[in-house]
Amino acid sequence: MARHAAGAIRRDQQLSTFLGRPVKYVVIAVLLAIILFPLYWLVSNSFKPEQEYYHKPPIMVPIHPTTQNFVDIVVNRGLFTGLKNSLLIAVFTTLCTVLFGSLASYALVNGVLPRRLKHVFAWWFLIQKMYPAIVVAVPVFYIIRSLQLMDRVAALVLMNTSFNLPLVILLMVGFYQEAPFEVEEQSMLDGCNLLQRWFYITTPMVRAGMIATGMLTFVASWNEFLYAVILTIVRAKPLTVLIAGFITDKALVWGPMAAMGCVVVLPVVVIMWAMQRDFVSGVSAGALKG
Amino acid sequence: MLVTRTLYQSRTDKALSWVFVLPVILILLATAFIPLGWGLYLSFFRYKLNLPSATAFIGLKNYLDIFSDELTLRSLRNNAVFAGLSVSVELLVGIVLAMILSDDRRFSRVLVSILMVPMIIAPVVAGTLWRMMLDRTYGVVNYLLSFLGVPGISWIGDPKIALYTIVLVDAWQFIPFVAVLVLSSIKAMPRSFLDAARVDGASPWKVFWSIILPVTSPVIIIVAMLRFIDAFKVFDTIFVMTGGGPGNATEMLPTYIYRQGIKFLNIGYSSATAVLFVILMSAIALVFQRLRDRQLLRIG
Amino acid sequence: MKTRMSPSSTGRLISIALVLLLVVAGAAIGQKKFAGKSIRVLYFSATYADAAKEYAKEFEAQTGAKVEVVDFPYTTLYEKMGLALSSGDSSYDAVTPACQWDGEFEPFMTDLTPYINRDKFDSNDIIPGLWEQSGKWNNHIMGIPFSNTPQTLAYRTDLIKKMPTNWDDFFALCDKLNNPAKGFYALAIPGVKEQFDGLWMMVDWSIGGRWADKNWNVTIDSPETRKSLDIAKRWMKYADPAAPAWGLGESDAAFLNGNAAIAFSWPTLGIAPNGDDPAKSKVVGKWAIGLIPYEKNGVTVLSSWDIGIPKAAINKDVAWEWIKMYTSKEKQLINFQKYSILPSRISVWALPQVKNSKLYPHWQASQQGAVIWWRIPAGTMAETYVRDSVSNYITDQWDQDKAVSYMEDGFKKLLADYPPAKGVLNTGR
Repeated sequence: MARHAAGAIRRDQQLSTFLGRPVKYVVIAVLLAIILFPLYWLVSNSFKPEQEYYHKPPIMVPIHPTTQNFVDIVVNRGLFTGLKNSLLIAVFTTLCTVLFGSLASYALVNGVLPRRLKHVFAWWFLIQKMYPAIVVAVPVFYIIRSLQLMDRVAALVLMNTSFNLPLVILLMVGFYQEAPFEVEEQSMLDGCNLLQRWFYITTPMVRAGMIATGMLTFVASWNEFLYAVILTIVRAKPLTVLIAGFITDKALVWGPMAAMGCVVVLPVVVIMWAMQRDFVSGVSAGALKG
Repeated sequence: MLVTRTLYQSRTDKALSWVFVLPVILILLATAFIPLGWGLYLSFFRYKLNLPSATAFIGLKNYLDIFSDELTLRSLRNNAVFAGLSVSVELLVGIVLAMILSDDRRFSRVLVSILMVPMIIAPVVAGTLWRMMLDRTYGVVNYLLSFLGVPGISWIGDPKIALYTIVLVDAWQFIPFVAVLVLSSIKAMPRSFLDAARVDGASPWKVFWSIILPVTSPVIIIVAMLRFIDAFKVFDTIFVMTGGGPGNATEMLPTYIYRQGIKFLNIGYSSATAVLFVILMSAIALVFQRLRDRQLLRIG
Repeated sequence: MKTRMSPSSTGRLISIALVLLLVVAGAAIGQKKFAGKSIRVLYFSATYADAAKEYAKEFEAQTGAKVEVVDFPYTTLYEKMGLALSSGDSSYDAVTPACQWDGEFEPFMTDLTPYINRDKFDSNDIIPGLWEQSGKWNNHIMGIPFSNTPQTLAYRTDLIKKMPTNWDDFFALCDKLNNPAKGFYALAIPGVKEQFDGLWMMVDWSIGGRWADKNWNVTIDSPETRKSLDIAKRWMKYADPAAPAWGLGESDAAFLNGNAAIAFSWPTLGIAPNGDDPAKSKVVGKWAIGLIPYEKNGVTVLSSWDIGIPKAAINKDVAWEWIKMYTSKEKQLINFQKYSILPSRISVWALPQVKNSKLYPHWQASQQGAVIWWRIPAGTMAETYVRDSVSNYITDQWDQDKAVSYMEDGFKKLLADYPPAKGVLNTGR
C-alpha cells in the first residue's frame, strides 16, 4: 500500500521534471498569450469605430468603443438570416452524421456482412478524406441543381454530412470495438435484433464517442465555407459566406468584419467550454482505439 | 484497422446490417462516387464549361499537360513543403506541450479548454484575422515585435516568407489538436511501465524517449496522417490570406484546382488533377496505416 | 311559363355586365403592370449594388414587381455568374457582366435588340465607343453599359500642382515626395495580384504595347512590355513595404489617412465616395483625380459593367423594365451624385452637375482611350497568366525573360486550344 502511494508520487515527479518547472510555466504563459491574444484582437476590433481601424501605431484598446458594428451587421448584413442558416446547417448535419455514421460503424463491427465487404466499406467510407472538396465542386453543383436543392439549407446539410462521415465512422468504429461484447452477446441470446442492440445496449456505452464526434461535426459544418459559397445565392447563406462578403473592393470595414467574426466564433467556443470534458475524453479515446 | 465480429446469422440481423450501411452508401454515392466517376470520365476530354464548342476527346493529354505545367509542379512543391513543415512543427511542439501538461493537475482542465479554441475557429475567420494582424505596417504583430527590437517583417508580402507564415498560422490552429490527442494517450498509459522504469533509475528524458514515445507512437502516427492529408486540402485560409500570392509563392494544389475548375471552368483538366490527387492521397494514407500497424506490432 | 327574358330584364342584365366590365377594366388599369412578379438581379458588391438596392423599392412601387438584389465581391462574382449562365440556371433575371466577360457570356444572354427597337430605347445617348467594348459582341447586343470607368489616379493637390505626362517626370516627382522616415510614401498601391495586373496593363498600353494585334497574333514580347515591367517594379520602391499584400481597401485607406501622395486605385469605388467625408478621410478637400502619364497614347484600362438578360431568365419583360430604369438618364445622374458611378450616357456627362464635379477628369481619360483586354472566353485565362507573371516578376521570383516568355507561351497555347470564333477581331489590346 505504501509502495503503491510512493509509486504514484514518483510518477508525478518524473513527468513534472521533464524540462523543469520554470520551463513549464514559461511555456504555459507563452501558450496562453499566443492563443488568447488573437481572440482579444478580434473582440476589441469589433468595438472600434471606423477612425480607429487604420491607426499607426495600432490602437490596443479602443478609445471610443462603440456597438455600432454589431448594429450594422444586424441591420445591413443580414446577420440573423446567416445565424439561422448556420445553426440549421450545423444542427441537422450533426444529427444526420452521428446517426448514419454510428449505424454504419456498428454494422461494420457487429453486423452480419461478409468480412471482406466490411473491409472494403471501411476504406470506401474514407473516400471523402482523400481529396479536397473543391475537386468535385462542378459535378456537385449540377447534381444539387437537378435535385432542385440550390440555395437550400438541405443541400449544405447533405454535403456537410458527406464530408464529416469519414471522421465520425473512423472514431465510432473504435468505440464500438472497445465496447464490451459480453453484454451484447447476452442480449442476443435474449432475442434482441441488431437494431435493438444498437439502440438499447451499445448507444449508452458509446455515448462519449457520439458526443465527441457530434461536436467535431458541429464545428466543422459551422465553419464550412467553400460549398456554402458555391451552393447558396441568397436564402441559405450561412455566416461564413457573409464574412467572405466583407472582402470587397469598396472599403475595408474591419469593424463589422470583426463583429461578424465574433458571432461566428462565440457559439462554438461556448459549446466547447460546456462540453469539454466529454469532448476531450471522447476524441482521445476514439483516436486511441481507432 | 477493423476488428469484426459476426455471430448468429439471423435473417433479421442480416437485413438490418444492410439497412444500417445504406444511408451512408447512398449519401456517398450521390456526393462522392458519382461526382468522382463523372470527373474521371471528363478527365479524358478537353471540356471548358463556358466554351462547349471546344469540347473534344483528348485521351491522356490532360494528364500530360498537368505534368508539363510548371504551375502544377510549383503548387505541388509548395504543398509538400507546407505539409512537411506544418506537420513537423505541430508534432514537435504538440508532443512537448503534451508532456508538460501531462503531470499538471491544477490547471490542465482549464488549459485544455482554452487550448482547443484555435481549432474551432472557422478558417475563414482565422485567415482574415491573421491577415489583419500581420500587415507589415498596420498590423499589431509587427507593432508588438518592435518592442523586442525586431524590424518590420513583411509576413505575407514577401514571397520568401509567405509560405512559412501560412505554416505558422496553420500551426497556431492545430498544435492544440496534436497536444490534446497525445496528452490523452499519455494519460491512458498503464502506470506499470513508468513504475518499472523508475525502479531502474531512469532519468526523465530517458523515460520519455524509451517508454512514453514508443507507447504513444501509434496515436502520433495517426495524428500525423490526419494532419498531413489535411495539409494537402488547405484552401480557406490561403484563399483569404494570400490568394496564392505573392506571385505563386503560396499556390497550393487546392487553390490551383479551384483556379482551373471554377475560375476557368476547365472541367476536363481539373478533373484529371482530381484523379491524380485521390491516387496520391490514398497512397499516403496507406503508407501511414502500414507504419502504424508495424509500430503496433513492435510494442506488442 | 315565360322563359324568355323581358326587354327590361335584358337591359338590366346588359347594364350590369357593362358595369362589371368597367369595374374590372378599372381595376386592371389601377393594378400595377407586373404585380405579383419578382425578379432577381445579380450585381458586383460595391456602389452598383447599393444603387440597385435603393431603386428596388421605387421599382416595386411603380410596377408592382419585387426586385431581389444579389451581390458578390469581385473575387467570386465571375464564378457565380459564369456557373449560373453556362449551366442554363434560371436563378437570375438580370445580370451585370463586366465587359471583359462579354465574349464568354454572350452565348448565354438574350439579344436585346428586339427590346431596344420595340421600346425605342435612346441608343444614341450611350457613348458609342463604350458600347462597342461593353455590351456589344458578335453582332448581338447582350447588355447595356451603365458605368464607364477608365482607371485613373487620385493625388494630393496640396503636394502636387500638375500631374506629370511621362514616366521619367513621374519618378522624379516620387523622389521628391517620398519620405519613408516620416511614414509618408509617394505611392499607395494595391499590390495583390488581381489589382496589380491592371496597373501594369495600363502602363504597357499607354506606352504603345499590345498583347496581340487585331488578328490575334501574339505581340507581348516587345520593348514596351519590358519597359512597362520595369516601371511597375520601380513603383514598389516608393510604396509602403506592406503594399505587395494590400488590396484596394488597404491602399485606399493609406491614401485617405494622408500617408501617400498618389493613389493607384479605382478612385470611384473608395476614394471618391469617402474622400470629402471628415469622418472617413484626413485629406478632405486636398485630393483630385489625375490621369496616368500620357507617354504615347494615354490609353488606360476600362472597367465597364453592362446589364443584360440571361437566356434562361423567367421574367424577361420585367427584367427589361428594370434595365431601362437603371440605365435611364435620371438614374444615371443619381448614380453619379450619390454613388460615384460614372455615366454611360453622353447627355449625362454634359450636365453641369457632372461637368463641374471632381470626377470629370474621367471623361478626358475616356476620350483619350480606355480599353479592356481580350473579351473572348479564353480572356480570363489570359488575364491570369498576366497576373501571375507580373506578380512573380515584381516580387523578384522570376526574371524579366521568364516573365515575358511565360505570358507569351501561355497566350499562344490558349489561342490554339480555344481559338476565337471566326471573324471575331481583337478589339482590345
